[in-house]
Amino acid sequence: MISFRATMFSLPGMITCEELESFVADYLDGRLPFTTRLKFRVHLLVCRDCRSYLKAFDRSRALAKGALQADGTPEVPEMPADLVEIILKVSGGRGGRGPAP
Amino acid sequence: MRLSFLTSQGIRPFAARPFDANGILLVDDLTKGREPDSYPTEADLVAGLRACDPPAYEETVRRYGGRLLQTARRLLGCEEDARDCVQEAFAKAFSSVMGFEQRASLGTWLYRIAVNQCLMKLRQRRRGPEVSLDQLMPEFNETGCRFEPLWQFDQSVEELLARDHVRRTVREAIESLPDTARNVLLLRDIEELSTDEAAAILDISPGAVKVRLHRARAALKKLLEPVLDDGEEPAGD
Repeated sequence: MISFRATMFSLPGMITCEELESFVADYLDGRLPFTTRLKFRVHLLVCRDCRSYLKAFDRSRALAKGALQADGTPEVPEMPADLVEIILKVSGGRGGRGPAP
Repeated sequence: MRLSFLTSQGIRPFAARPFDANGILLVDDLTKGREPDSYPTEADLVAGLRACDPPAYEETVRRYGGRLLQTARRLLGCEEDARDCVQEAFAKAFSSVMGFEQRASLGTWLYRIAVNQCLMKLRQRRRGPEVSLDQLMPEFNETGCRFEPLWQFDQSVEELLARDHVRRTVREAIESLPDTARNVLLLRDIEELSTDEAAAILDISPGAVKVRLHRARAALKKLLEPVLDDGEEPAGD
């Protein structure tokens, strides 16, 4: 039995959830052509499953970004003096100050 | 005789370079009395590296090292690994500076080397088996309809991220992705590079970046579902 949603998504100008999925990346990049973007938005208006999916999708991206960026600092850190020293020692053979005696 | 030094800005007097009575370059003396503004432009710095000027090495590390370390900390989440990667990146860069064609800036070139070192480190330190992307893709019925839980989020992303186990889960989820998916995700969503920049670093086409990125994001969403909502740490056995 064909569901109401399936019937609705088969109407002219509509796309299915599966088709919407293939447009998500370009939609997020703002690269969808106008008519496809329109179909994408109309689908979202009538499909709560896809709205919910995108809500969770956005949240997982925000979590990924927040979790990993928290391990860096917002400002560019100064190079630790000991690390500078190590790097210059290692590169000693190519012009650095050379290994410590 | 007055020596000169060719830079992209023209010919710069280079008489100050010390030579002994036999015309041998006194390398040790080069490290003395050189100020950071000895290399006012990037071209000067590259020329200094190619001439094996020790102060040029130091200036390069000080000028660009901080950003590379920041990137390595983000990508690796481990201070020791981050420092190792930055060290290895500079060693690699200094040994191949003659091949640096200056199509990109020195900073960009160093950044690419450091990112590749970090991605290599992630591959080496993989802790568990990589997940299968196909099993994490969204599912549709035969008419192309999606069935998704109706998500209601009570907490903000910031509140979730304040919990150690959420941050740990996120990092573990990203690291469990196959290399090809994880690398694209890290460069596009964490490092916020453009599709073309990510493609150049990974040596794949922009189209491949887009496809891999969407699959990686979809897989990550599935992996993070347990912490998307309440973020409560699962009870131990």
